[in-house]
Amino acid sequence: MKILIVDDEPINRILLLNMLSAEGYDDCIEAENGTQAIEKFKSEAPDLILLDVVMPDMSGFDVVPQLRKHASEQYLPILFITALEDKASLVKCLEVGGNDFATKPFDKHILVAKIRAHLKIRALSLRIEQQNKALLLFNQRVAREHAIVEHIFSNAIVNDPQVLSYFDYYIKPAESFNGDVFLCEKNPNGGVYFAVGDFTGHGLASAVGALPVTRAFQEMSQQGVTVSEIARELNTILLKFLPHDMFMAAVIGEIDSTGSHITLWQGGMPAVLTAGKMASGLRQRPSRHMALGILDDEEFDTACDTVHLSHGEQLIIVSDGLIEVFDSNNDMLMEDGISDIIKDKLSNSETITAQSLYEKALQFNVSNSFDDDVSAIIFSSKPIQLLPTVKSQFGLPSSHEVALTAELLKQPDILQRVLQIAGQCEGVQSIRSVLYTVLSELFNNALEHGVLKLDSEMKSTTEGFHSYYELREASLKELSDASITIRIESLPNEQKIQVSVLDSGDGFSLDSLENVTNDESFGRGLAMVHALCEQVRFEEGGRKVIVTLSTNPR
Amino acid sequence: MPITSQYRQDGEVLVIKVGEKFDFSKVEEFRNAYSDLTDKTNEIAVDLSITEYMDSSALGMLLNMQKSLKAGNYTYSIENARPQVSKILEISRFDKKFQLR
Repeated sequence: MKILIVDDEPINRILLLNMLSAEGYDDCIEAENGTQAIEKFKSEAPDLILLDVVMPDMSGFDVVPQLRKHASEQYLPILFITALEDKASLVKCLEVGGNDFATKPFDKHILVAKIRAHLKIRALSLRIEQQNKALLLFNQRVAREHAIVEHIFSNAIVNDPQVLSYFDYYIKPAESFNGDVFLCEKNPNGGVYFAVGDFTGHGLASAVGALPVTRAFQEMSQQGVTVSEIARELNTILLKFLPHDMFMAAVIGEIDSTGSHITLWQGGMPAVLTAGKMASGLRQRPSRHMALGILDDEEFDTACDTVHLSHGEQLIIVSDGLIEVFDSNNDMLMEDGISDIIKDKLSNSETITAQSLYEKALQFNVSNSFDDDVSAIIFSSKPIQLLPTVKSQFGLPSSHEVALTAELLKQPDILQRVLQIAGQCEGVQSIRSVLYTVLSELFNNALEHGVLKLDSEMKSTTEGFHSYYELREASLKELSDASITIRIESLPNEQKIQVSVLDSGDGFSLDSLENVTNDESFGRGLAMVHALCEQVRFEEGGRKVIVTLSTNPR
Repeated sequence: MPITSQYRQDGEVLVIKVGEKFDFSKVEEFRNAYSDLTDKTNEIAVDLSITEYMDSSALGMLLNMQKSLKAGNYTYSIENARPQVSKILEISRFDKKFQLR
């Protein structure tokens, strides 16, 4: 700590200098008068000043305001050392801005004790200043980081306004980041997908999970997969990304193009409500599953519920933040409370809007604010007419060829793996299910009739039907030295997909393709392939079949 | 995703919910789903809401179910099929044998 001694008498300065040095204060500087004191103060920035009152150029009383003017905000102790003893002068010492005084001749012990006490406060003040600075820097850094993350979020979690226009929603985060997510996407097969999620907690920590969820949801929507598959995939992702104590309650849904048929997977969210015109028609549909990100894939249940809505009927989804609020009697709103609010409105022929539900819940809420993220999403049933997304002018043509040996043909999931490859081709999204059916059909024909040489006629009786599949299993087990080669060629620019399947069997005579009646439990496959494909032709004596599908959805 | 079956409307309707893929791999499971009908049952509904695709062996299984339950005089329906699956059912004229809803 640096001490500035200001006195016009050299003897006084030496006296103080010696005293301080004896106490361990070696860093002392001197000034002979007021002017010099101010200069030294500016250049040396001392921590404490011992100041004489009576000096030739300016009095110590006049020096103090000057020093204070140039001092920073920290506590700067100025102690007057004075020969004046009258009360008025001593009072003035403090009034002009001094912090203490000692009268000459001073008591060494008392003066040192005073200096020590004042320096202690000075040190504290410096430390606070330092901490304030660090805190300020920290805050600036956090603010900057939040701004970056906000930027990422606002760019990553964007719903197509066209799709969004089919929903009425009110979403209010408890903090700047939202632990509730609402996503909606066009279904390439017509209709829309949506997901309402609520992560454990709120704020940034709970919002980060929204990024991988959004990406996966968007990608899967574009592939036109089932709600079950979306639920399973999101569960897997969240298991992988989130810490164990964090998970996401969710309602995932698919609305068909008529707007009347909704498939729902619900886990850990409040009951979904469906409302018609009459209060009596209100129904609660509780969640069947645990939230996403808890159960392992083997335990995970993808079972969905189906909801039918007539035109104008509403599907209402709220997050727990909206209904877990208390009134003045400490009663919680809950699902029944929100149902009552809706019934009330229906009885008065009022329209149910997401915002009106929020406002009603706010009125109910005794604390008049929400501690958790709040979401209300409403779909009012109507046909969904969305134009297909304009894809890049040039699609990427691709072809995949898989050569399956006997060993591979024995794998129980072999067809699934081939379908997965087919599902990845550009342009197939709009006819994914149909393509799967055709591929499955051609593959099974090649395997069962070409390679295993099973006779379909077996299937004409009930028992034969099952014997057929038992025989299929047994023959497959014995199989060696056989192959099926599947080639999938995607031609997105011609809106076509060509599939060929070649087997190592003996082929067949085309004449044997007889007509079968619809009552038979067999023989329907080829007719179906004909109906689903633009073109079907056989080559290599029936060992190879080549089909062409149009990817243009009618 | 296994096939599940449960009763609805006081046990009058058996609902068989088929998984994501409805193909030959489900032969056993599907047969088991209707092997144990109660006396009250008068309708069997096959729910395809989460079924992504079906092939002709699935169609065979559906018809085989009707054949083996012929004596019971049940009503049969298929519910909640997604558009592309519906198309398969329509192509195969399954509307003649099942009520499609």
